Amino acid sequence: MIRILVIFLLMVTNAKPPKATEKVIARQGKVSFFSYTSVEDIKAENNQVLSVIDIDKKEIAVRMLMNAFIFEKALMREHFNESYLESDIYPKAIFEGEIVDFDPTIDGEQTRIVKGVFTMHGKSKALEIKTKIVKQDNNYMVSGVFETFVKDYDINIPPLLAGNIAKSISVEFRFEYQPYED
Amino acid sequence: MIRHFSFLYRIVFGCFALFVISCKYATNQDISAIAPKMSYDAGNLIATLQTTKEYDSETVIAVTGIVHEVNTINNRVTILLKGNDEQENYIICDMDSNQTHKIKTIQKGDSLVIKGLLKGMLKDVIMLNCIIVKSE
Repeated sequence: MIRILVIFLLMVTNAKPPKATEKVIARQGKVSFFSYTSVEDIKAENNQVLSVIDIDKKEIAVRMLMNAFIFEKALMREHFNESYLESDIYPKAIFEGEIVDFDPTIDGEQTRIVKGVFTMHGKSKALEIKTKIVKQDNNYMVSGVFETFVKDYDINIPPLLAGNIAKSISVEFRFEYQPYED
Repeated sequence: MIRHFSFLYRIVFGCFALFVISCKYATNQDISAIAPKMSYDAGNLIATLQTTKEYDSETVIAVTGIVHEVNTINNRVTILLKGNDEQENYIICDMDSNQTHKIKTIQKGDSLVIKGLLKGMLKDVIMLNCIIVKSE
């Protein structure tokens, strides 16, 4: 009986509270996109993109407001929000995925594939993105470039303007993460 | 005489067309002359946007708050106003490029009134084209 009591006490004293999942947050991530055609080049950037990485689960989530993209020309912004992306109906774009083979113990740089689903304009598309991850003093920097197709997101472009917008859009991203407690 | 008027008409029409085009293609929305539709305390704005999805984005508002941070992430000058002590959300104010001279003197803990274009909320409230209305 005493032996059982001792074992029980040892278990209780050695029991630790479950470790809180470690997360990092980027409140001012940057996402830019570029459309190159012979008619015109269109560039826009969003500098207030939110992203959270759950380090233990190797999961990444990204959210952005579509109306927070800054364009070179006001007319481009107007077309983007009102005609193409319908930002009042679909105000946010979301990416949720997993960083494959991510090793948070590596200081410095590692290149990994991020697999996930990107939802924009009410349409979801599976993506695999080659991503550079740099860890320094428990802060992370994540960046990369990928191509995506306008047709995948059910975006209607009038035939008259079809020549102005590339079929494939180049997307660039850069996030600087800091420790975060949920 | 008629030819003279025709030429003048073309000049006036041309100037008007250029004005319309330049307005349409303006790159940066200057909100300095726009009166804010609503004024908020930073904590109240965060609480309001957390509880309702029915808010007027794309409107100019004024926010009073305490500076949590001034940074230049992404080469943009940004001021983060903090909400209430129990809130871990901020007002992210992307400052207009014409505010650079004012921002040099702003420090953490300063009380500011910032006017800007409300875009919406993710974890934090996002405002663009911001200008400092009053600093203490």
